[in-house]
Amino acid sequence: MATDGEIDYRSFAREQLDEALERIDRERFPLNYQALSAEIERRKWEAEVAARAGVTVEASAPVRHRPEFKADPKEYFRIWIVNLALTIVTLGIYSAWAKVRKLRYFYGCTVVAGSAFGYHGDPRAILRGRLIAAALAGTYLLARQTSTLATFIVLGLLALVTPWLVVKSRMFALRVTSWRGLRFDFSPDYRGAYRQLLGWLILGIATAGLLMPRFSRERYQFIVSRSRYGATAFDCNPGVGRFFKTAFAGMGLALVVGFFLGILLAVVVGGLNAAQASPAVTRVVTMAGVAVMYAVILSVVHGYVQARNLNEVFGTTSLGPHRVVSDLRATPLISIYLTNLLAMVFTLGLYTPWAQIRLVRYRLEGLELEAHGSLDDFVAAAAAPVPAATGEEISSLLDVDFGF
Amino acid sequence: MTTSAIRARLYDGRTSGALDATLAIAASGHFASLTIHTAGTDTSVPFTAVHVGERVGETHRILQLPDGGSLEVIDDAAFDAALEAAGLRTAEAPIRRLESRWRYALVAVVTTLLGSAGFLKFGVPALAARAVRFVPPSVDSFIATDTLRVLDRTTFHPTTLTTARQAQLRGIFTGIAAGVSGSDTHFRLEFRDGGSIGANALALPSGIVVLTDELEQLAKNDDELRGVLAHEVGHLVNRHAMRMLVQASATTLLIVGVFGDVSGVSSLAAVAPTVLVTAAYSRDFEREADAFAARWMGQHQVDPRRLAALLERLAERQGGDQGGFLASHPGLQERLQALGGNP
Repeated sequence: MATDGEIDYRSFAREQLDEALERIDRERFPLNYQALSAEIERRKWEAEVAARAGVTVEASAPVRHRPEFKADPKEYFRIWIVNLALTIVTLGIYSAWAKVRKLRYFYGCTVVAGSAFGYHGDPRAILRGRLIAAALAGTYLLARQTSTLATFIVLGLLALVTPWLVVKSRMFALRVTSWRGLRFDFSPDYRGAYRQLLGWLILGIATAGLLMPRFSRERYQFIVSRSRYGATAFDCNPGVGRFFKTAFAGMGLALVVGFFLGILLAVVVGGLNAAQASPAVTRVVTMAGVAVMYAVILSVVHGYVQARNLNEVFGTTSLGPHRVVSDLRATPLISIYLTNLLAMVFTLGLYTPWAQIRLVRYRLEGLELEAHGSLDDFVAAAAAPVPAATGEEISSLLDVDFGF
Repeated sequence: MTTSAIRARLYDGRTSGALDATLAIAASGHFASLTIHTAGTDTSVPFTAVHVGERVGETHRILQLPDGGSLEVIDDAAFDAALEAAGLRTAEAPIRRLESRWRYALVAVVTTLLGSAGFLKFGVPALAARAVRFVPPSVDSFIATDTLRVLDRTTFHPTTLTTARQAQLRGIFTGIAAGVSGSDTHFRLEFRDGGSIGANALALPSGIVVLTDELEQLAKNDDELRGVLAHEVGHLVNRHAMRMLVQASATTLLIVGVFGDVSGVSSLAAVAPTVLVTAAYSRDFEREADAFAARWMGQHQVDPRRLAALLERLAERQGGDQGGFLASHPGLQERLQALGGNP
């Protein structure tokens, strides 16, 4: 018996799709049904665009556009350090302007099909958001010190507002992003945010983490499929099964890596004891060893899970008739995480620009946009006002995880 | 004066289509205009109506047109030259200048390192000490309210000291606490069997000082214990718990703000400096508490070297000096010297 959500309709012929639509049991296979209708919509769009352009669908082979990330770490180092120094000299006030310049550089260096992205965030709005976020974060840090009860109360309140924060944050971030003169957007759906984000998070916690992969899937699905480019909505339908498989494989990986590193550490500490090293030396070596173990396990698991999940998310993402192709690999991602961490520690953070660019470059260049037809036919949506940056700044300060 | 053609891409703001265009800037006196030439049409707009974005690094410049369209400049160098020739500058031009020279970058590295180090070393403690003055001392008792309960459950056992001995030590403690100006009467001394932490004394922010049976037995006389209790009262009077809380929070915010900007696992790199800085703050507080104890002992005809002797015995029992960058207390030699003990 097939699991719901596993059928890939992209390979179906047009007639087969219609046939499948007639036969499908919507109640039992809601995900299949959703995927099927989305695919039919996509084909209709494709035909429509093709008709307008005067060509038939079969005649135009898809064109693949690989994003190009043109950032130069040496150039970015100067931008980063000058803005950091200005931030420190102005006691943090300038940080909002620094953020805008950084994002303008990163977006401007990202080129798809010959056109760069644009960032249009207003530093004054970001500063207002940051001030409010800093006040809230201060309250949280204070509460954390008073007692466990207060910490739980604050964490509970945070969990309650997080879906709202996610929506506000995405709205801000996308409405100030452009490509070819059209803005991106995020459709605010608070009810959906609470159902898909908080609902699945609570179920995940209630089942002691067993359903967490489902939460992860819902979060990606929500964030991508509410996003729009101009008037065109993204569609994203990652398979549920893949998230569970990845999570379990990731846990297995953590156990295996932890087991071998644990043995290694035990041998080293045992050797120090046998050589009658001073207790202070043994203590420092043990602490450093545990820290390294922690960092390695986290990098390995994070890199693996991230690569697999993002491939699934982007691989099932489409924008109108165009599809996204994702080919991220776990091993290079893990090695970037580990070498970045190492270099950051040994350069007192001065490696930051190289670390950021390496990571962004690998992740961007692992994606491709498979264009079915022209990329010139997107239309703008009615202009939407950019919301306050408060949600965006609170989420980034509290490290609300979007999974990307 | 008119400049030669500059290549750009024109986006109309309504669709994602791109048109190849060439630009020219014409300046006469105070009036400048931008001419956009596409296949078949020429449009001219006054420069004041165009929002000219500044470039960051080698990215293309974006010009926002009054009709909602925009231009992505391809020949950036030519456009930059044309802007300059027309005497036009953007507000961000000075920042761009700073970002484009290595010598400014070097100045920025020094400023950043000195600025953040100085701020962490002097700024944060000074700000915390000042901020704490606005918080009534009664608030301190809300910090870590469950610490003693947790320790009782996990580490401590009931004391085995006799009631008479407890009363005697409480008498000494009350004497110290009462003599301190500005101190509250809510300071209280508690006794516990130290369990796994052994000989120790700790001051909880709620005003409770805990003395373990093991430390009481390690002391050769009550003067040594007077020194210990004065040290703990020093922590309470100087409100170290509250100041530590403020300093640790400020440090976390600052370090995450500077180094936590890298997504993913690399933000772990922000943890190490936070740990080092808070350990340094802790050592400063211990120095302050030692100084308080030495001063109190001096004023009450108790030799500060008594406390030094106890510290030395304690270090011996714990197996050597525990100093270093990660330690919560300063090295033993430094503490002995400060108390006038053997160098």
